[in-house]
Order: sequence, then structure tokens, then C-alpha cells
Amino acid sequence: MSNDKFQVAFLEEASELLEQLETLLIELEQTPDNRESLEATFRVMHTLKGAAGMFGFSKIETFTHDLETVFDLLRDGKLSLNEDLIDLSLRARDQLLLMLGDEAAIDENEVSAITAGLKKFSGDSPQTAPEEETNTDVSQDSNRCLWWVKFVPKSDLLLNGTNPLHLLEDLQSLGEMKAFTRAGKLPALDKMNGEQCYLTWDILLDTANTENSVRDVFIFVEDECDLSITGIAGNARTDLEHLWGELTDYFRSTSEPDKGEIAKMVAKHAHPEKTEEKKDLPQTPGENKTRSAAPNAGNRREQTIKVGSRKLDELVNLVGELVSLQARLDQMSQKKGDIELTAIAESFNRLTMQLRDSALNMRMLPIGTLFNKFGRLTRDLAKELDKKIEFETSGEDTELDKTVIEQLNDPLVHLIRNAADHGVESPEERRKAGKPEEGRVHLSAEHSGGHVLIRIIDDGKGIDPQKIFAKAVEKGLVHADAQMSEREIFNLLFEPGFSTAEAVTRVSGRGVGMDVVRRTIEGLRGTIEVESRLGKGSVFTLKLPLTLAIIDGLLVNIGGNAFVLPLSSVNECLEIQKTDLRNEKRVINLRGSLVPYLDLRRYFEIVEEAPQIQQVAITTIADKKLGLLVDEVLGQHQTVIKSLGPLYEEVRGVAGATILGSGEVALILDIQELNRIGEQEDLLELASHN
Amino acid sequence: MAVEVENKYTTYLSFRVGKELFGIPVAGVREVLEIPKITPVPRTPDFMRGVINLRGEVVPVLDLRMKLGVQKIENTIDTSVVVVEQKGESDEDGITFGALVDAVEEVFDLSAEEIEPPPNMGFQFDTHFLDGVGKRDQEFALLLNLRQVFSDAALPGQLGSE
Repeated sequence: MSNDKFQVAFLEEASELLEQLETLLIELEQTPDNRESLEATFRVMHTLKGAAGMFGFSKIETFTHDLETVFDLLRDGKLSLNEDLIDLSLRARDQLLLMLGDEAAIDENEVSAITAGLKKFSGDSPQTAPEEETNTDVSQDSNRCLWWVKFVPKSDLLLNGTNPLHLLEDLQSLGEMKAFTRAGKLPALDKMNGEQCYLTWDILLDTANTENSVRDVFIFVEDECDLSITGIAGNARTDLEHLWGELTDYFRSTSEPDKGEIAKMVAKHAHPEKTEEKKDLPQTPGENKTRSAAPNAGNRREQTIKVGSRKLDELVNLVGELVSLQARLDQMSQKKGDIELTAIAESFNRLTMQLRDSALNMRMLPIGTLFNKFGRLTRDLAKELDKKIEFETSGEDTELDKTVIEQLNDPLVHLIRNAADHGVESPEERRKAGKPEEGRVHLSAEHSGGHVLIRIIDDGKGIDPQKIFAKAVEKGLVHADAQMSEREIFNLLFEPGFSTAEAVTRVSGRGVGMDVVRRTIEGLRGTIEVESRLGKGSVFTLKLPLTLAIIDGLLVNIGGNAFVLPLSSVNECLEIQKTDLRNEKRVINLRGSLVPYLDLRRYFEIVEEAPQIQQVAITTIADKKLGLLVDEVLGQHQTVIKSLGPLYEEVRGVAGATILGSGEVALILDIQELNRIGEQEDLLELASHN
Repeated sequence: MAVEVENKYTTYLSFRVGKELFGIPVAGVREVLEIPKITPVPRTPDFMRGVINLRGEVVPVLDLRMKLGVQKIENTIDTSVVVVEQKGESDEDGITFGALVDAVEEVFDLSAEEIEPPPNMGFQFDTHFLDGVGKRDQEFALLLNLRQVFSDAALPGQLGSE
């Protein structure tokens, strides 16, 4: 049973690794000379291989091994990267993903084809590299040599992501190693810059490897450090353990050690006979500390704990309850007017809000996890469509609620497909239009107030509003002589039953339609908008709330029942006399401009007489203003959103429910839906007038 | 229906809607509440009375009397909400809802032999909501299939109608 648990953990880790692998491969394809990506790719493969071996996934292990071998050659510069290899690697990655899941889904032919392909790459190279990394091999005593490595990194070494500790670890894997850390350049704590490397090292390495392989360890940092490698003694076994004490004293006494001095000391401790080799070299604790302090400041890896998302959901639910309860306490303390109670309630309020924010924050994930997948998608699409597309992302660090990110996948896939298929033109068309052959699809994310804006930008041919309009008329979605702004016309794209692709291609013809995209986005309480310029390209903008669980709401009263409007879409509230509403047209005068309004009493079929003075909440959705006529605005309310359940799923204009301080249930209004209802009622009215 | 065949007896909760006596398996009943404040949901059929706050959970309430074809229940001191949990295929499919009834009576056992198929006529109620009829003392208890009642309520076609 416990074995199963580990296997599950492995599967989880492996799929994460494969995701990374995919991203890295795509990166490598774009920048084949990027050493760091290559190294990272190799590391991912290596980790995967190791983990697979440990948990008995031998198939994955051998397969990854073949892949790793090729990348090892690349790393050593014995092979050069080309498109075929990337292709092959991506195919291999897909098979690995299958291997993790259903054994039956594995395409054996594909696996052997890939293996053969990989073997060809690794076999054709002039020298076949040793398969395993060189571990200390005791038998090769004759070639053993003691090297003195003086490693003085430049202070900006950490800036390009190099961790000197990793270099030392690599070095250690070559043989027996001792390192002396010089911290003399370390400034006082308040003057220290965490991104600079202040340490230097004197290293003694007893290894069977050649000077070149020692130098290879530092190959990527050659320009960022002063390195000297000096042979001290050859062909002799040295007892580093004993020698070390004396040597440290020597190193401590001088900043410029002399080769001869070292050699003398070494000779003193030289062992004529073979000694048992110790593989793990414990460092003295004091040294360990100085060694790790500064480099770790540059190592930005954060400590993380994996927590099941269910547990997080539970936490957010509990916090939701707490927020509701806190609202009740507030109400109670106001009613009692007791100063002490009010003080407690206020502190409690602050604490609850902090707790709420941090609980919600825990569910936030950087959107980059999602963006990374699309690199592969565009690449494959470009191949399929015979187009050249460069895919770019920005704002990957923007954080969004986990649930939002999960639900964004399908709409984004659809939009990116559209951008690649209908947006970006074929290379000839682009050349004729005077654009670079390679089209661009840019995916960006940014914060904007309580929202996150996600944009899908392409520099393709744009959308022709006239074409859209004609199509909509043809489909009977609008009247032929309707007067519509460009924005309204673009919004027709999202109407059910609208598809502009003249020929439905395999790429965009499958899957969801644009209406489903809009529905999903609105289900997340977001909006979607299109801008486009003919010949220049299009921008699809998704505006999404940061979180789904708790919102700031405006509490209003309609016919004796409380309702909540999402405060983020309310601009202002006005009082309005009943007599002002007695006109035929359902618009109000807002500082000289006419704003349509929806009488919620009428919509909710409340028959009793409305009060003399009512209030209008002016809301904005996608730059369109709509007034909502309510009896009274009651105030602000921290709204914990609860679902109304399947029975009320189909109710239009209601997005959910929340529990008020009094314990009563209030419904949350869906302003977008009300907007649409308002439009439809206008249409109906127009129809009945004609 | 959650009638357990291997048990000889099934325990039912009986309640009245109008003059008629009904039973539902007690296994599906979570609790019985006095009538709380119900928040109506606009533009829904009248028998869907609205939602209540059940210790932080928003639970819909159906008016059983209206659903079964009689008039709306007038609140009396006996009017109660029977909170029912229907298990679904998975955890997410399950649904909790309240049934508004005129009065809750008692818990009683029926053996399989005591249950007869529902009659086709002779009742003022729509009989396709019934699983069967059981005899209790001198009266017949109509055994409701709440899943049926509920799935009818969820029909989108009924929503938004006047």
C-alpha cells in the first residue's frame, strides 16, 4: 500500500517533469545555442530517469536513458541540435506521458521508432560518450592525480543563475574533493547584496580524470570566473583527510597560496599503499556554514509543501464561514453600541480579512503553468497549417485562482487555435502584405485592479467587421439595417450559431465554439472583448476576477428581499424620483448622457407598489453602462459566494447566493446576464412597437 | 430508490401534505426543520419556494403540496421543512434540498410485503412520483420517490415559465 503512495507521488512528479521538458524543448528549438536550457533539459531527463528507476518503472527508465544519452552528447558539444532531434524528443516526451498513464495506450511502434531514431543520433557521433557519468573508480589508480583548483567567481556570477555549489558538487562527483572557502571579501551584513557572490574557493581534488574534464565542470562559467587548475601530485594516493587539517591552516594564513608549499605538504602525507576510499566526504560543520550562506542567497528556490487542493478548498470554505460570522458580529456590536465589544469586533474584522486574503492567496498559482502548454500547441499548429508562427508569452508570474486557471485552459486553446488558424496568414500572404514571414501570437497576462487581463494578440490579417455583419444577417442574428458599432459587431462573434471560418478546417473546426468560450469566461465572472484592425491583427482580451470564492458586494433591497451586486462592476448610485421614471423610454439622464436601465422590480415580477424614491446602481460591463433600478442601496457586504445548486442552475440573472449577517440568504445578481436581458427586452419592445 | 431489499423492513418518515399521508425512506432524510425564512428566487416556478440558510449551506426548498398538484401550503405551526439528501453517482452529483410539508408525523417500519404498487387512479395527486403504497394503521401511506420529484423540478423547461 505504502508503495502505491510512493508511486502516486512519482507519477505526479514525473508529469510535472514532462511538462517542464516540453517547455524546455520548445525553448531549445527557438534558441538552440542556449546552454542553460540544454543543461536544464538534461537535468530534467536525468531526474526523471533516476526517479523512474527508483520506483521500478523500468520502461520509462530505459527510454529516458536513450534520450538522455543523446542530450549528454549535445551537452558535450559532440552533437549539434537540429529540428529533427527536437521533434524526436517531443515525440518521446509524448510517449513518456502515455507510459505514465495507461500501459495499453503506448504505441510500441512509435516507441521503437523513437528509440531507433535516438540511437542513430547517439551512434553516428564520432565518439560514443561514456554512458554513466564518471564516478570515482578505485581501480584506475595509476592515473590518479591531485589537482589544486583555485576558483574565484566574479561577483555577478549568481546573476545568470549559476549556483557555485552545484559546480562544487559536480566537481565532487569526479573524485575525492576538499574545498576551502574564502569569505574574506564578504562585506558587513547591511552592505551585502544578496545577488552578488563574495566567496572564493581553493579546492583539492583527487581524481582519475584528466585536467580537461576538471575544466569542463566550469565550462559554462569560464567567462565569469578566474580559474586556475594546477597539478600537485600524480600517480600517488593521498590521504586528503589527514592532509586537510594542515592545508586549511595554510590556506587560512595566506590569500595567495603557493603551489610548492602545497606540494610539500601533500608529499608529507602521501600514502605509499592503497587506502580504502571513502566516497562521502563529510565537511567540517563550520566550513559548511560559510560555504552555504552566500550562495544560497542567490539560489531563489523557495521552500514549498505540497498540499492537496481539497484541503485548500476546505480552508477557503471555513474562512468563508468565518467571514459570514464576522459580519454578524459586526452587526451585533453596532446594535449593542458597547465600546468594548466594538473594539473586539474591529480587531476581529481586521484579522478575518487578513486570514481571508492569505487563504485565498494560497490558492493562487502563476498563470505561467498554463501558458507553457501553449508553446507546444502553437508549434504543432504552425507545422500542421504550414505557417511560421512565433509564440511569445509575458506576465507568466501573474497569479490567479487555481479554479480560474483550470477552467481557462479550453477557452485559451480555442482562442490560440483561432489566432493561428484564422489570424496569422500563410508565409506568402504575409510576404505580399509586406510583413515578416513569421507571424506572431502573443499571450500576455497582467493585473488590473481586482482583475487579471489576459490578452491573445496576433499580427495576422484581422477581422473584417463587414464580413461579420453580413454573416450575422445571413444567419438571422441581426436585422440587415441594424445600426451597430464595430464593437457590437465583433461581439456577434460570440453569439451561438456563429462561425466565420469559410471552410471549417481541422484545426479550428473541432472543439468548442466561440459562444462556449464566452460562456466559460462569464461562468468565471469574467468578460471577453475583441479589438481588431484589418491587415494588422486582432486582440482578444479576457478580464477575469482574481478569485471566485469571496467578492466585495453592494447590498441592495428589492421588494423586501436583499440582493448583492458585485461591487467591482458598480460605478455609482443615484437617487431617483418615481416621477422621473414616468417616460416611455427606459433611460435615465446621467449628467447629460442617457443610460438605459432595467427595472429589477419589474423583472422580478414584484407586484407591490414601488417606493417614492428609488435608487439606481450604475454598472459597467465591457464599457457599456446599465442602470439597475432597486428600492434602496443598503451598503457594502463581504460576500462569500455559494452555489445555488442544480435546481436553480437555469435561473437567468442570478449568479449565486450568499448568507447575510442576519442569517438570511441573499441572491447575487449576474450583471452581465442582466445586461443581456435588458438588450433582449429592448428588442422585444421594439418589435412590439413596429 | 434506496429501499434495502436484504433488510426485511424499511424505515419511513411519514408526513402530511394536505390530508394525504406520505412516506419517504428515513435513510435519505437529514433533518426536519421548523419553517425558516425562505428567500425567494425570482422567475422560477411557484412550487420552488426559494432558498434557506442551513448552517451556512444554501439549500433550495420545494413546496411539495404545490408540486403534487394542490395549492400552495399556508404556513401553520405544523408546517415543516424535511431536509433530504439524495446521493448521486458521485459526490458532486448528490443534492440536498428541503421539502415543505404540512406536518411531519412519525417514523415507522414497512416490510416488503406491506408495500403495493401505486394505483393508477383514485388519487388527487400525480402518481408518477410514487414508488408504492404502504399500509399504516387504518390508513394508506403514499411512498414518494423524491428523486423523481427532484428531477422533474430540475427540468429547465419548467423554469422561467409564468
